Parts: sequence; structure tokens; C-alpha cells
Amino acid sequence: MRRSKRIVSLILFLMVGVVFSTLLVFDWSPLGIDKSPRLHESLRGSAASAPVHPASAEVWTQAQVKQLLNLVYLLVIIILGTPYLILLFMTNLLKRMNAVRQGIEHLQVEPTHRVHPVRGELNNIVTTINDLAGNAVFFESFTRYLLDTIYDGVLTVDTAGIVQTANSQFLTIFSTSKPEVINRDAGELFSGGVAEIISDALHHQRFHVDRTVRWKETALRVYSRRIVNNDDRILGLLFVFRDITLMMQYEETLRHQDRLAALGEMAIGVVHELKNPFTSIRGFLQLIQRSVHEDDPQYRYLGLVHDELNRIDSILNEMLDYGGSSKLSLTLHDLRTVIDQLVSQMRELYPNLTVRVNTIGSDFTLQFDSPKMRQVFLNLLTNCIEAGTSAIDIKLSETEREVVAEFKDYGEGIPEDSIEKVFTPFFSTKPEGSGFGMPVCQKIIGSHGGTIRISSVVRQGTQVEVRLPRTSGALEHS
Amino acid sequence: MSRTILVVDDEANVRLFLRELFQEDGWMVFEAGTAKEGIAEARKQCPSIVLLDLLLPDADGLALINEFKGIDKLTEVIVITAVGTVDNAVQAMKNGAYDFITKPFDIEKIQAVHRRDSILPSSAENL
Repeated sequence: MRRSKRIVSLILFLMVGVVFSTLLVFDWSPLGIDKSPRLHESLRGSAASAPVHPASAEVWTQAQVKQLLNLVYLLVIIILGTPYLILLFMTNLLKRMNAVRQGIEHLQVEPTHRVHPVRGELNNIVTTINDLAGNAVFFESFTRYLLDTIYDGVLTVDTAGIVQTANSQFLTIFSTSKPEVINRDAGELFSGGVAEIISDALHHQRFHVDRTVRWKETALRVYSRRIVNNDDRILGLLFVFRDITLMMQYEETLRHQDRLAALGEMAIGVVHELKNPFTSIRGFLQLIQRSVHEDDPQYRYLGLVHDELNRIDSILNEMLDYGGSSKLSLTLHDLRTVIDQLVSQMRELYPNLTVRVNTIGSDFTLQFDSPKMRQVFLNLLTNCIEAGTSAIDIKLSETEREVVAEFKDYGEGIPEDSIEKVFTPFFSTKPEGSGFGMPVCQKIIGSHGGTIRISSVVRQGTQVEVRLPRTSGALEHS
Repeated sequence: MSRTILVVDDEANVRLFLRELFQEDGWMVFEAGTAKEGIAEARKQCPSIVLLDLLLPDADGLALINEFKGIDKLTEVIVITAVGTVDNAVQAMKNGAYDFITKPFDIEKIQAVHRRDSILPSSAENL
């Protein structure tokens, strides 16, 4: 179409050229390029020129031939020059158009690229394209940044279930990468509760709000919705995933702490109420004991009562330790000194017991409440001994951030179903245990900002690991 | 010079036990079940020792130590408590208590204290 137009205009151009040439040849030039003497004569208007006229029509003068030749030259120039000019113009135009086309192609690959300006009117098109591209890039990148800023994982799929968008939090939650999910079938990417939610939305038009599902170790709160445009046409589906693992852990910890605090308060109340009558009972018992002679069989009974009362007393004291104030008096101590002192006491008390202390590192100084920490390690060592071990291995290690103490015995161990309960007050695996030893340890270590963990294998032994952060003191003081 | 002791404890049986024990050793024992009674009794008798329970129905024993010391500075206050925490002990000693004994107490321990304290009135007289 464009090509034929070009040909038409060329022909037109040539025709105009021919017409002009003819005009010139027959001396009707309106352009006044005719400089022949004959013309000058006619302008002068002499009468003598009149008879010359018919003769000139028949006989070509030399001047006329020359003029004709001039015109022929002109014609040739026009005929040859015009296409050349046209060609030149067209080539130039095509070149610029090609540059614009290449610019657009580049833009498609790289959205931040801009089409280079070109000469002439064509540049208006370039400017418009660049403006449009700028807007598109802005919105695309803004959307991406917006999505990546959202703390929740966001996933969008088209109506066929093909993943269109996945923000960075989504990729983090599901520990995946963009290439692994984009343009993939969302139904095939997931399993379990997440797949169910996607399938519900895709195939059954069932959408969820605040549904809690598990994905591996992560607890997720999910909601799903349709994405619709102004005309209520469905563009795709949106899924939002919120990682609530930590929140649930916090909640669980809080519940646990609340329970423990309530237990602690109750323990204190119970101990207070029991201590007074207990004091009288034991006091009067001692008074009676004094009046009974050692040979009297009742003296032995009274002794047994006394021992049993002492046992009650030690339980009451442990309850008091557990429920008592968690206020710490923190000072800088060497944890190794505390352990060394306890170990030498243990060795003295139990000569047959082997206690090995292995230290890795040199700096075990940190802020802690020395009497309370001593009680923790005493409880742990007592547990080792009561488990019937012949040896205890203590390992002390340190990093820049924490000090770790591990206690290992080779005693009877704790059954798997009991291991979780050792930190629960009143629970004991020992027939005469009060069930407060480990809870007290946990409470004290916890108030230092540390953690205590226990693992055990029946008939092989138990291992307890205490981790104390070096910063706990600083935190307490700030 | 009579050796007088004031037992301030809301538990009647604890008071009775302490009375028995101290009377046996020749002490004159006075009793009070509340802080208010205790202060009144101390003003009247000026005892050489006050055995003071920390948990009284009408006052915190820790705050009372100074009051007893104010009535007679020669009076020694010995704190007896069911809540034998380190914090309490430290606070009691800071407030001027002579000693700190946790319930339930052994006869020997109590006797050790008051026998040691029995020197007090005479040593005080020597001043």
C-alpha cells in the first residue's frame, strides 16, 4: 500500500517534470529562464521581428537547439535527482524508525531502558513511548517494593492457578525462590493445609479468613480472596500467609509462665500456712523427745517422726525456693569457681564418685546471682547422684555471647514420656523427690536470661545443658 | 536483774513453745500476737530480747525492728520467720536485727541464741 503510494507520487513527480520541460521547450516559460535573443526582440516589440516568427517555427536556430539541450539536461537532472532525493529521505526515515523499533525491543527486555531520541517529528512518538514505559516501570517496581515491604507472605495466581506474584516474605516463609514458583501451577507446589486452601479457592470458590495451617515447622495464619476488577471480572486469587510460629511460641511461654507464677504463688501461700503449725509440732516434739529416755522404745518413734518432719521441711523449703522472689542480685563472678567449689564438696561427700571437669575456653566470668546459681548446680549434681551414677562429666565452654555448662551422668536415665515433665512443679521421677528441683533450676536460669535443656536415655544416663548469656546482667541493669 | 524476752508471733502455739523453752532456762517471757500489742508490751517491759515474727497480721516485721530498737536501744531483736529467704535475712540485718532464725527451729539453735544473748544484759550493765 505504502509502496504503491510512493510509486504514484514518483510518477506524479515525473509528469510534473515532463510538463515543465515541454513548457520550456515551447518558450511559454513562466519562469523567465529563457534568455534567448529572440525573446529580447519580441520584448522590444519591433515590427521586423514579425516575419521572423513563422520562419523560426520551421528552422531551428543554433540558439534554440542550445536552449533545448539545456532543457533536456534539466529534465535529466530532475528525472534522476528526484528518485535519489526520495531514496535519501526514505533511507533516513527508515533508519530512524529502525532505531525506535530497536529501542522498543530493548525496552521490552529491560523495563528501565529508554528509547533514544531521534530527529524530527518521529521524536514525539519516542517521547510518548518513554513516558508510558516510565509509568509502567514505576508502577511495576512500586508494586514489587510494596509487596516486599509487607510483612506477610503474598501469593497471587491467575484463574488457572498459575503463580503470578510471590513477594519476598512468601519466598522466605516457604524457603523457595522466584524461579521455583513463578509461572508454576500453585496446586502442585504445596501439600497439606496450604494446598487445601489453594484448592478450596481455585476449584470450590471457598475462601478462608484467618485459617491456621502448618507448613513443616511453621505455623501460618492464611487468608484467601478473589482479585476482581471494576467490572467484577475475576483477575486471579490472592493468598496471604502470616508466620505466627513465634507468636504461638510466645503465647505458649506466657501461658506456661502464668501457670508457673500461679503455682509459685500458691506454693508460697501453702508454705506460709504450713510453716507455723509445723514449727509448733516440731518444737513440741523436741520438748517431748527431751523428756523421753534414749532406752525407751518411744524415743526411736519420736526420732522417726522428727526425721519425717525434716523431710516435710525440706519439701516446704524447695517450694519456697520455687515460689519465692525471682529478684536477682547480680554481680560479676567466675562460673568455674562456683562449679569447682561444688565439685570439691561432692568429692568429699562421695569419695567413690568420679567427677571430671572439662573446660574449653578461659573466660567464664559473667553477671549472675551466685547463691542462686550455686543452688542450680547443686540441684543438678544431686540429681546426677540420685540417678545412681558412678561418674559425672562436667563440661564448661564459652563463646563471646554465652557460657555453657553441661552435666552428664551415667545413671538410670529418665523415660521419654517423663522428660518433658521434669520442669513441671510437683513432678518427680524420684520416689522421695519433691518435684521442685528442676523447676527451681529452670526458674533461676530463666531469670538470668538463659536456657536449660535436658536429654536422657534410659539406663544410659542424663545430660543437662545450661546456657547463660553474657548480656543478661547488662539487660537486668538497664 | 531478770532476763526478759518478748515473743511477738501471731501463732499461739509457737508462742507457747517458745515460752516453755525460755522459761525452762529461767527467762521471764512476755507474749504478743500482733505488732501493736508487741510495741505496747515492749514499752511496758523493756525486754532484753524481742523474738519477732516477720509476718504479723497488722504489720511487716522488718519495719518493726527499728521501733523496738527505738523503745530501748539495748533491746536485741531476733527475727524468726517462715520465709527464710536471703533477701529477708539481709534486709533484717540491715534494719538492725541481732539474728535471723528460720522456722521451724531446732531447740538447740534457739537455745544457742538465747544462751549467747543471756550474756547481753550483763555486758550491757557493764557499759
